[in-house]
Amino acid sequence: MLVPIVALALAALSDAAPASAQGTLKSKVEAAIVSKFPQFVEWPAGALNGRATIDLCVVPGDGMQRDLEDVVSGDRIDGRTVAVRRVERDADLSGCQLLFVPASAIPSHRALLKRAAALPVLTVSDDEGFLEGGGIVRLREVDGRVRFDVDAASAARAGLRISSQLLQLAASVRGGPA
Amino acid sequence: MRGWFASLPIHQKLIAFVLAVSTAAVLAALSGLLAFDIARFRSSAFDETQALARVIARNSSGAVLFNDPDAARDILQSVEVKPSVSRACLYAATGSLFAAYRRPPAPPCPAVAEEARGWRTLAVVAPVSRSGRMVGTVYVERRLADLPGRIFVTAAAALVMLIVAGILAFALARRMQQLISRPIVALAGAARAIGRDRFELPEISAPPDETGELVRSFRDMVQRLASANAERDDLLRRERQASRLKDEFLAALSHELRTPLNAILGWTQILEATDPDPQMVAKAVASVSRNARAQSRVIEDLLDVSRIVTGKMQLSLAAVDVRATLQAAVDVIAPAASAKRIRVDVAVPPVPCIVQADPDRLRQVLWNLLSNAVKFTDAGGTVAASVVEGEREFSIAIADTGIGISAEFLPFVFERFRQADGSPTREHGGLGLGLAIVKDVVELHSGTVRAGSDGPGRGATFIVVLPRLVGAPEAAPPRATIAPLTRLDGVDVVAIDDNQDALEILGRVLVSAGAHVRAFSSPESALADIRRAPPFAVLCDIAMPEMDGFAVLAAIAVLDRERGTTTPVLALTAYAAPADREKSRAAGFRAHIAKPYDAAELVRLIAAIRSPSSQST
Repeated sequence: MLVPIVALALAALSDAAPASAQGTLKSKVEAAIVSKFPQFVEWPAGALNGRATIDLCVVPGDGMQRDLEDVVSGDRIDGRTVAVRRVERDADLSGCQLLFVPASAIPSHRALLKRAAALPVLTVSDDEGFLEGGGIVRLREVDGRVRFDVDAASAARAGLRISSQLLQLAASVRGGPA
Repeated sequence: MRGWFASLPIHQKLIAFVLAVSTAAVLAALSGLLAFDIARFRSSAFDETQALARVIARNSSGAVLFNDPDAARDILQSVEVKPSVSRACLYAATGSLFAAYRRPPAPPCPAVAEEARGWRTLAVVAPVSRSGRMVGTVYVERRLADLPGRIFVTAAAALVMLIVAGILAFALARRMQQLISRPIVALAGAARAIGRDRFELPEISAPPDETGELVRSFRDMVQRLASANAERDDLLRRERQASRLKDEFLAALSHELRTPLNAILGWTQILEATDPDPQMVAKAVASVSRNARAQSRVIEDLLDVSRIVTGKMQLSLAAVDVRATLQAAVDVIAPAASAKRIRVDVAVPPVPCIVQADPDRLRQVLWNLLSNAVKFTDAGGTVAASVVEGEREFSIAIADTGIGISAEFLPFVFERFRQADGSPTREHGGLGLGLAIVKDVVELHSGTVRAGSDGPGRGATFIVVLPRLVGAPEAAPPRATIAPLTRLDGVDVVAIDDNQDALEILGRVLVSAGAHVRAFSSPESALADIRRAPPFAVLCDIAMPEMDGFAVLAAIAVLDRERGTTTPVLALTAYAAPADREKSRAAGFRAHIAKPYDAAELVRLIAAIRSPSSQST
């Protein structure tokens, strides 16, 4: 049961930076998956104008920020550097393309999430009820593998277009055609 | 093969040519089409496969990035709908195989993805990229199993087209080759017929191109050949006839020369063998003289013919009164006519009938016609001679009541050597030259002569028409008609001839005319005598041993220069050809007298030396 997860994790990490000592294997795999999302998302035209970076914002609460930084170090998407930064207040949200909120931090950041939902920001969390709360991508473990679910309606509301490939790879897609 | 083809008739050759050419053309076109079709098929198969590979690459980047081989396999599985795709493989950026699809019996995916264009399979490679980065490679292999089938179908269609085109070409060729082959076949047939000497050419229809040109040229050629053939046959026939005429002529000539000779020799032998009485001598002399003249005339005629044929006959034209000439000729034949009890009537206009003519020749013409008339008229008949005055000409008619001329022979009476009866047993003598000479001489005078006869036994008429001399002097001196009795009384003449007989006769002729003659058989002694006393004239033979006539002439010329005298030298020779005359005249002889000569003529010539307008005959 563990073997495919390991294999998947190693494959995902193979082109990333040397594995960090911190974090669990699960969080490393999750970081690897989250780091790929920007490649399959199209932000509204104005959101990236004049921006040199694609900002992956992380609400502290687990080792995600650290693992993500390891994975995306030096990554570029369409000429923009992928950057990871920490977000705690509403004001920090500006300029974020992706917002990861750990399940443990959800209760204390409901307002932030609500705020983010109104912005062209791909919200990601491993909280089980994340999609019902207006989130776009939820990570979960299925048969020992990290999979993700997508709420296409929320994405559309946020002005994001998610690649059909990503939707195909998703464990489930809710919210109608996207 | 080639020999077999060469012996085919031309229409089959033409059909074979057309079939070969059209088959080759169709074959080339179809092969090209097939090759093009195969190339296009391969190219479109490649493009199709490449498009497929690109679609797969595009759809599988997520699967590669999210490391989801199951999803990748799903994507690859989608090629199942294309039966021609045998393998589809997805490789990670590292080159390791990520996911694979294969349709049995295709082998597993290759270790390295490489594009390939084989005969049985095509393989294409497409990169998998995402956000400008290459994340993997797609390899799609397509089998070309359907190609042989396609080729077979196309080839079968080509074969059908080839057969149809062949049948069409054959049908067209069979009809169109006739345009070319029909005239040629007809020509060949005509040529075969001509090979068998049949010169009728059947009507050959041909188009107005080179074939028509060929037919027309061939027809022209055949016509020319036919006419040339006819001409040749005609020429050959005339040649044979001319040859026969010449044979007859030679026989007649021999006869005409021998007959008088026989009389001459006979009388001479009688005179030699017997002691003749004066009466016999007189008879002998008359006979010898008559026969010698007859022979001389035969030779004269021959020479005339020779002159006419070679164009050397020269006329001494003068204004002549035809009446006088006719009368003179009638006078000559009168004794012969009266001997045969033939009446000769002469009817002439009361005014002079002047024409321009050589009087001697004109007299010869009329005498010929008159003597013919007498010769071919039986005893008791009539010969009528008349002159009729026309506006521009005079017609002299000699009509007789004699044996006449058959209608068949009439057109040929004036031809040389032609006689109505050419057989050796013929009744009438003669060479058959008389009328030919008449015609030639009359024509030399710009006149015409024609003969008419109502048939055998009904007489004949000969009419000579001569142009009237306009602006002529009223009366011309009838020099030829009235031969003055010329004498050489007291004239000093030197005669030279190495032949003693000839010298003797010449001497007697001159002496009888009253001349003083010094006769020499040796030119040297003659020259010595001339040096001693210059004569009035010299008569000299040409062919002599040691010193010929030309040498004598030259020696006399030297003497003349020394003394300042002029001694006329007359050549007297048996060389009678026109060339000989010309030669002696050029050498300086005053006259050229051919042996045998007429004594009176000789005397007249010597006498004529006195006047500046001296002539020779």
